Amino acid sequence: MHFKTENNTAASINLEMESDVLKSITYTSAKGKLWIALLLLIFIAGIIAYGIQLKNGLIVTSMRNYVSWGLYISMFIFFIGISHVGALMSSILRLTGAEWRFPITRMAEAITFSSLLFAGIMPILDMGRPDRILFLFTHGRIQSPILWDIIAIATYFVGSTIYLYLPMIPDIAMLRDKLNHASRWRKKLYRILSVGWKGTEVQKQLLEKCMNIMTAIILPVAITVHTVVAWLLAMTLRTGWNSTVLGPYFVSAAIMSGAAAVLIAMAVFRKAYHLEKYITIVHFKNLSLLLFVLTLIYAYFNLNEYGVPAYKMERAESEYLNELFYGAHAPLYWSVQILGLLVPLILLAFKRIRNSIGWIVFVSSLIVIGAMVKRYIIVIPTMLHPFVPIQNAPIGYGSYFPSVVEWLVTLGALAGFILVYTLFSKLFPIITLWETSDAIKDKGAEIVGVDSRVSSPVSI
Amino acid sequence: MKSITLFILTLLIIQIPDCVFAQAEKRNAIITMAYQKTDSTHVINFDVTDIKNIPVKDVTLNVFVKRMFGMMKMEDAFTDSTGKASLAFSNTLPGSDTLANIFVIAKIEDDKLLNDTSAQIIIKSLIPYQRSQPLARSTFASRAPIWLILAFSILFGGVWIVYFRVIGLIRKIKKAGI
Repeated sequence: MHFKTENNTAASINLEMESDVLKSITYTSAKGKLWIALLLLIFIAGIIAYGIQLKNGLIVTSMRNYVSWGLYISMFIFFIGISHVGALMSSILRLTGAEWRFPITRMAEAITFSSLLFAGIMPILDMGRPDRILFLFTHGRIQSPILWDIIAIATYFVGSTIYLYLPMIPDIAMLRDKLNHASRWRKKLYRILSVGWKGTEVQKQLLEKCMNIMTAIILPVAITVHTVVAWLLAMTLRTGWNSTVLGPYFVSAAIMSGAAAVLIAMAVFRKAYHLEKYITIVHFKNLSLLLFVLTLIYAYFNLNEYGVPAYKMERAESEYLNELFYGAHAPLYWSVQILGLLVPLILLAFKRIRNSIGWIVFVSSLIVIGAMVKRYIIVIPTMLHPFVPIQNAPIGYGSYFPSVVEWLVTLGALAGFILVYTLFSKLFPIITLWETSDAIKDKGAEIVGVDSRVSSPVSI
Repeated sequence: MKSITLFILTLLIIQIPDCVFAQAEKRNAIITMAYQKTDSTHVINFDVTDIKNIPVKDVTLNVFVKRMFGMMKMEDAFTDSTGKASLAFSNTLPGSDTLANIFVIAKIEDDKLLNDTSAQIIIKSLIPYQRSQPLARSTFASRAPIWLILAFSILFGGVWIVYFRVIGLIRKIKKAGI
């Protein structure tokens, strides 16, 4: 690929950074191609498995009358959870004026986009008759949390897409002007998405205005979405879900798992795209400290969610809690609580751990896997503990373990999420170039957290 | 083989008279129930006789009142030498159905001398039947309450208006570049 250098449409973008970041778009290594192929393969396997489910019905899953929400809905809650990171982190850091945010905000916002895409699909996968999803719009009841959920997720998806798109406009314009040898569809895509950006003062003012509006609006929308997802459970009178703290509990878990997901993404992109100069230990340190605080908040809500009912041990609740603490789900429950919460909390308390990218990735992985398994723990044991005891039910109705089809479909969705995220990074700069360049110019490389060797931005 | 057959036959010979005598000893009984109203109680009078109308004394009557999900056990009543018994219970007991009927059931169960039997009397409760009203949980109702429709519409409608405003501004960005 050859880059143009004479055009001035992308304001003052640091040339070195521009060149380094554009390499990730114009060049894909053999490992990168293999990675995309692997994700594509798993994604296709998931589609085939879903085809089998569609043909034969939900009987090919392990879901029956009692456990009608299985792995799919657990993953739906997980996806919604990590989708929070873009809006919440980016918005909070923007509002608080944290200058070090620039190199990582787009990674966070792109996670939101790709995870919401699949979060929206998961409930449809859970349906025996997915064609009936349209009934929600034609016969939906405004007093039903299901409808709140659909509307809230759609609102959040549109909002977070706009929020992701706005700061991309100058960067897309730069791609439009510089990627001379890009394919025709790429050129067309960049031309359309750059909305004629020339970097004029009027355009900059308008863009600034848009971003300010969206920064303010996306935060309450993000909190609303996960609260509504929590209400989907909490509005039903069931053991484990009949809780007033479920909304904030979900929100805190969402931000925590999202922050951990961003840390993993940062480490991967840093290494894969050789962005060591722009995503530095400073970003890892700052974000891991934030992760530590978020984990503390989550631990506090955990104590409320399980400690308070465990103290009272109300009849029906005690059956459910005993099953979690000592019963069949105890190994999973305690693994999540210890490995996904306690161990990360202890590790992140040490500065030495927060100063090591390897350790941070390890802790973040524990948190993300823990968050995934925790959603399973939230959904399944409650479904297995209805108020009217399970009696004389056919074999297999009183227990749940996902079938091969469910595993494949879920893995397919997970691979799809990572695939969309990867392809996004192959289409657009994963670092917001113009914002980072402006911040380096105005505040200096140290404040932005980038390597001091890129401290002299060159206006083009 | 012969000895085994002889052993089984001996057992049968021993058992058969026991069964026959046990059957023969138990009699059928008739429970007659009558209602008597007082100021503060419902009183049920029982009269237990055999089929020859001879009063049966020292019989335990298990008394129940029919409730929605089963029989509520009341106190036991014991017949005297004239075969009569009596049981009083509060007249604040609500009825078992919409007509405020109280179904009182007396049973003779596992008695040594009498076969199991039962009788029933229907009396009127003094407490009118209270039809249970569905809880006023308006969000569950078939029609959404107006406050919910308004709150929801304002909240999400407001957000979408902001989105359209931002999309409008993006169009302005495009125009400013021409």
